[in-house]
Amino acid sequence: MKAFIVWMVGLATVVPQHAWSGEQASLLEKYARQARQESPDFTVFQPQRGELFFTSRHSGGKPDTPACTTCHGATPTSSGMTRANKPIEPMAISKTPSRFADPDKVEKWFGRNCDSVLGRPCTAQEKGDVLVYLLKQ
Amino acid sequence: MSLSHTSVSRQASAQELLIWDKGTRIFHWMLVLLVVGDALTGWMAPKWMLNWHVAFGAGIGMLLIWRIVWGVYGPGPSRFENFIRSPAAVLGHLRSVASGHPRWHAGHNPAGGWMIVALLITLTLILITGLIALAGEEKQGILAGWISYGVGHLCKEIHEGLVTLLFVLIPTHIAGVILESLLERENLIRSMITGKKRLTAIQTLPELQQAKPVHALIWNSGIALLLWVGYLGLGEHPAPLGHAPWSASAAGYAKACGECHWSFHPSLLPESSWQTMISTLDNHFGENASLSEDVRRQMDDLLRTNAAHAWDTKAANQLRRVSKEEPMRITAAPYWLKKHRHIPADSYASKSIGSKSNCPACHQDAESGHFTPQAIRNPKEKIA
Ligand code: HEC
Ligand code: HEC
Ligand code: HEC
Repeated sequence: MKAFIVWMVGLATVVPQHAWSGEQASLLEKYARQARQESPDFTVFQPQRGELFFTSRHSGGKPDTPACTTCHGATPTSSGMTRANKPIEPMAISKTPSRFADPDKVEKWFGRNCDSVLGRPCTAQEKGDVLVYLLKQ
Repeated sequence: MSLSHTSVSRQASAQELLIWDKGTRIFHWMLVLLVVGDALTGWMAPKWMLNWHVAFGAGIGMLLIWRIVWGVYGPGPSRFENFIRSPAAVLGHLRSVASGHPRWHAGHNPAGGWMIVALLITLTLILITGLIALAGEEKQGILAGWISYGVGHLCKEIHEGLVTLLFVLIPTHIAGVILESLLERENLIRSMITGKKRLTAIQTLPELQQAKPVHALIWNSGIALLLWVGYLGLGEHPAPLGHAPWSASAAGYAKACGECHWSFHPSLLPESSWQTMISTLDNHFGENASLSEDVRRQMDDLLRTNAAHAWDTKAANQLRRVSKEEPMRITAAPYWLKKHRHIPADSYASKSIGSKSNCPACHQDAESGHFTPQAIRNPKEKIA
């Protein structure tokens, strides 16, 4: 319970400027619960960690796609391009308000993209970090 | 459709008499124009100009109906009964030509008469096979609901064969006209413009019938009415063959398969290709496109029941044959390669296209699976 309050406070400081839907909040809640299960040390999702994860080059995945930004564009507010050359709308919620509203879609894409970039599934903390980072944008 | 019913008459001038009435002359030159138009749009124009080809064809159809009726009720020289002659008459005429002194005929000579018949029949068959090809191959036109792709395709081949025949007949017809003009010292091309031919002293004028324009009008109106009723009747057929209602978004397909590229119409690959693809989604052209198990099963079902065999469009029929090396690539299928061989490879890279698999960039009706010629657009440059 304590951790949950810490998380809520963290959330309130992190994402004050953007209203988000219930879906996005409950998705974060779910990831927070999973993150606590995965690691007892987990306290709060951090957008800085999310930014680092989202923008840096990883190893372990496919050589063509070393980073999330390979497909999603250099910054969250710019659009990206799929491997089949179809534009991808910006990930920033300020640019594409419909982002992260469908939990199944988010899970589907984390599943695919983490495999492509890291060669393994993302941890719940990584997912939550990325989400709070992108929701802040 | 009020047509001059001038028949052969001496009033034209002392030496000249009117052989070709105004209707027949207008018919002749309009036919020339429309046949040239159809030949150009059929052979040379870009694919998306098919509507012009069809419109010219419809014009020829109307002319032919008019001419056939005029062949019964028109003035003497235009009537079939006067220029469809026995083989003996044809031979006799050819012999007189060979001797250098052809017998004079007010209208068509016996050989020329048969040429007219051959031209009219060939043109009629070209129109009929064209209409069937349009229905079977493109699923368009008044017969759209009734003709399978196979029959349409066969008729297209026949259509093209008959056009080749037509373009043997036309030069022969022109050569005959020139030969007769030289032998008779009479410019017959001018005659088809003015309608008049010289009457020399030795030539005696046969008794020829007057036109019956009212009869012709009644017949033409009757046929037009019949065609109209037939068109309305055929038009009520609910859905053309092989055009099952299909909506990518309704079935969740766009969500599952339309995020990395457009939602490929399921008719563009055969069942076996979809089956392989759907069972190897974790490595989909080097990409992880995996789906949750129940969505995967849903898509498997959807793609396989709507695969190429379930459609009767040209694309579906032709794309059933896949590439041996890359059976899951539409863009590697022999038919696809053949159809796009003139498109420069770098034009796909343009921003508005992106990839050669981005069919909707050039095919405005890609989502429906039709891929009709009229809907072909190349955003960067028009490619024929
Ligand atoms: C191979 C290209 C590619 C790479 C690399 C990639 N993504 Fe994606 N991602 C996509 C595509 C395509 C979509 C779906 C497009 C859309 O929703 O507009 C998507 C969607 C997502 C979504 C869901 C968005 C929503 O609206 O629900 C998330 C979250 C996501 N990606 C995160 C990531 C992260 C994190 C990384 C790095 C680990 C990453 N992506 C790397 C192509 C990629
Ligand atoms: C994660 C992104 C992604 C998803 C999801 C995806 N695809 Fe693809 N698909 C690709 C890429 C990348 C290619 C290769 C494109 C290229 O080489 O131009 C491709 C190619 C194809 C092609 C071959 C195109 C050609 O060149 O002829 C077909 C067909 C196809 N996909 C169908 C599907 C279907 C059906 C689904 C849903 C089950 C699906 N795709 C989901 C990324 C994806
Ligand atoms: C760069 C533009 C472009 C793209 C992308 C493209 N096409 Fe085409 N396609 C054309 C053009 C232009 C023609 C007409 C070629 C001709 O004149 O014979 C054509 C012809 C065709 C035809 C034959 C039409 C007919 O009636 O003869 C089919 C079928 C077809 N394309 C299917 C596809 C499919 C399926 C895709 C996607 C996998 C695709 N095309 C992608 C430009 C394109």
